[in-house]
Amino acid sequence: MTNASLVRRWAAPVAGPLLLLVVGLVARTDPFWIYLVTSAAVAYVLTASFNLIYGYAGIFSLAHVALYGIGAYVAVLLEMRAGLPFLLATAIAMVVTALFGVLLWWPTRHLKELFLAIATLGFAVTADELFLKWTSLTGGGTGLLGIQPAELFGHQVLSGDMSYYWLAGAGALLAWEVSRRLTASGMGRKFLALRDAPVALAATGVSPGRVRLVAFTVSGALAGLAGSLFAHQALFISNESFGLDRLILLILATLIGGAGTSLGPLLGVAVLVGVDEAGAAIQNYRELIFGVAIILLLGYGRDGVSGLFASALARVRRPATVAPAGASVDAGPLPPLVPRDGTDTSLLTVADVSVTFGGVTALQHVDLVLRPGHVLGLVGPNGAGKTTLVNVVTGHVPPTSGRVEFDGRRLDGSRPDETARRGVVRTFQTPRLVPSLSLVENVAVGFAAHATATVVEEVLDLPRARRDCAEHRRAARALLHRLGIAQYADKAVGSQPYGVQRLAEIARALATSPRFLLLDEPGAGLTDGEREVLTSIVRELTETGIGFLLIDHNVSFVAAVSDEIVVLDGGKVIGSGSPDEVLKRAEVVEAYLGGAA
Amino acid sequence: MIQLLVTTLSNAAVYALIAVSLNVVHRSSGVLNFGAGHLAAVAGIFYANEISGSALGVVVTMVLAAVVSLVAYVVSVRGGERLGVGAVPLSLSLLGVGLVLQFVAGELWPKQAFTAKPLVGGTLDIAGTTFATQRLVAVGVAAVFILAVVLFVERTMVGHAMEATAADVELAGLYGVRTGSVAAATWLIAGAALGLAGVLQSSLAAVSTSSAIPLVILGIVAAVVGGLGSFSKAAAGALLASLLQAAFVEYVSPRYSISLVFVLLFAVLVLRPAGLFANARKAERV
Repeated sequence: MTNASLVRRWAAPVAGPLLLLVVGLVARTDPFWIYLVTSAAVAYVLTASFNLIYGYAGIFSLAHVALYGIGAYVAVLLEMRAGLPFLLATAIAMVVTALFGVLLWWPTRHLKELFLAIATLGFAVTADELFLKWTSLTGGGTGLLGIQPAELFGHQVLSGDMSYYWLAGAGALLAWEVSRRLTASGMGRKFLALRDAPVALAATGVSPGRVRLVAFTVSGALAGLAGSLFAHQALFISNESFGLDRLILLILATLIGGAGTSLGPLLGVAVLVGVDEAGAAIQNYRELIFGVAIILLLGYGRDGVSGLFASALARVRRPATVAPAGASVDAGPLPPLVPRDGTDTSLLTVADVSVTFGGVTALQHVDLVLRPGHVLGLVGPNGAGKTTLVNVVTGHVPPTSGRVEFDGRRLDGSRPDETARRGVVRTFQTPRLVPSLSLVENVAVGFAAHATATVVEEVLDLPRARRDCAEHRRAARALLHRLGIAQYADKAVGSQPYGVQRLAEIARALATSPRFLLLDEPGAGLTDGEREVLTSIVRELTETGIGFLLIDHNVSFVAAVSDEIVVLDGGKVIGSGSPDEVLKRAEVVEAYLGGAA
Repeated sequence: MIQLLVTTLSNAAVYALIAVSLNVVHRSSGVLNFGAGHLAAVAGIFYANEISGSALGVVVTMVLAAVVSLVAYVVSVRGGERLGVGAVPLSLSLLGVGLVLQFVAGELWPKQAFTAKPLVGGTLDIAGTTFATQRLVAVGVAAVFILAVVLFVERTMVGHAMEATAADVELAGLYGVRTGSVAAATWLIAGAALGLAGVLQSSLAAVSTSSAIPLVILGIVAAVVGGLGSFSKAAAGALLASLLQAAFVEYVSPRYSISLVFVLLFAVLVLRPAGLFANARKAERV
């Protein structure tokens, strides 16, 4: 076991409680410090929840502070109007804010991030208006006064008292634990994939929309918890605490702390509490400071200021996290590459498919049939429409006319993740991998479809999810071994040579147990040795019944592995047949090699 | 009824200008100017306090707003674009510019709402209802401006260069389009539209820095409801949004006017994310 995984298993679960305990013991004698550390514990719940949805999942939910506000109002109103006890009211508030998260997710689940930002900003501004103007409920600008201190098992937990610190601390621990477990689990991998390479996520059959739902629900519930804890500390809430100002500050705090790291929210807390305490002093310059900070931190990328800090930190840390070369190649017994019985007889047919982009015709009446266990080579000059054809089959581009069928059911019109789940999987011309994850983790994402644990188990990293995770890592390692790139297994993908990335992407595609595999220029950028490995793998896989569509410019490579070759030129099929016969034809030679030389 | 119609039209003029400005920028860079409301509001405050009530004042305000818009681009977007920063962070970065503008306005003028001298004096009587002539003038001015933008984009070489740059910056550059100048033209036009929106808002109603967020939200809603990418549809979206808002304020309650518009936005995102007036087949942007 490497140092890093030792740290992850033993130190991280202990670090949170320990920090909480030490801070509490140090602060306990001075009322001002008690107040300060209590505020910090409450603020942590907020920053940690925002870090989950924005830092890890990369979703710019501008409604987060609104959810925090809703949590505060709901908990307080349930106590004041319905007489519910603190714990129950808080629990209900968390459910309500989680549901609001779902409400925000629903219309935006397949939209681009900009539209998600628009919808959530709209929600935030609307909530702001309701907090201010729905006076009969929220007290409007005067706010809600006379909030009763939280009561736990008959004991009043007074704000300003150490007991409230421990209560808020319990909330902070919950947020810490949920963040830690979620990010360590398979769900954490999916979050990062959603953030850095959503196309890759969909290509493995995982619906990005569903991962977004998990992020909205979990972070929404935690935002509600933060709201209730805030209300019972302040014992007064008004719209001012939940406006755009707060949202901007939260974003800044998260970015300065370091989005998508476990320590980020802790540092972010210092920013939040610090600005609150400096409140009066900077009141007149608030907009100036916030404005300039936003431009610097966002306008120049999330890697702007905090990125500098992170890369400096990474430089210091790097030696500890790199596994010694060759130490982890022990992959155990090789699994059959794909657990299929080879008796599959279903066809994938492309029938009369045309695609036009505006005035440009990319494909004209193309017919193709992919058979299980067969390799169809697709060749043609650049711009012939090869990649467009793959895009049509995998749902990345809708056909203008014609249809794609698989298993007797239509495939066109499905989203990329749906086609991948049905067993039609592809690789991309430029490898799409999650750069911040290691090769093993990238390939493990491909095993998501084989998970036995439920989403809840995955989020909480319960035993079954943990077993899944370990099993997927082991299988991923075996696949990498099989493809001859096991020595790179634990390194971050982003820094690997092109050929290794390509093979890793193929490994990820294999991990999904595809029935048809569409490889878009798999040989480009490979060394001769790597291409040989690829050739033997493709041959071996055809015996298990996988059908291939293979695009490549290396004609001898295509000829060596294909059963049939189709030549595409100008969006039309200009020839097909066995490799020998097709490559001899004059018009094929002309189209492909540019005239009879 | 007439009153409602006139209010709707004159509000729509302001929102449509903002929506068109957002559209111009979004087409060229994929960014949504979250700071547009602030620029419009501050332009309105400047106009009301310094040179209101004259045609020259209107032009000066528009020119200044155009320049500020260009500076906003250079400061908050251009560097990030080159680094490959996403659309949302850059949109928020523009909100940062808006906050700085809000600060500057707070230093220069009192923090209160201002109303400008009317563009044109006098009143008109239509079907027994009296209203200020300038309301109709405002609608006319906005319509002419938007029409001019459309013609400029569709009929001139600079406009074609803008289209080309919007489609593919690198390719446009290879064909000899000066992409830097095109970006400048884009942001200048977008800023001028916001300047005019500010002028109209301060002439027809009142303007303060707290108008900024409602203004940009309504502009965004108009643009999204119409379908980002087309100026005329954005104008239609503005009309629809302000009609709903005016009717709601008139017949239901003046209190929750933003919430109502937000419901409209959500409905559009659920039902027709490409925009109400968009051709359904062209829903690629989602």
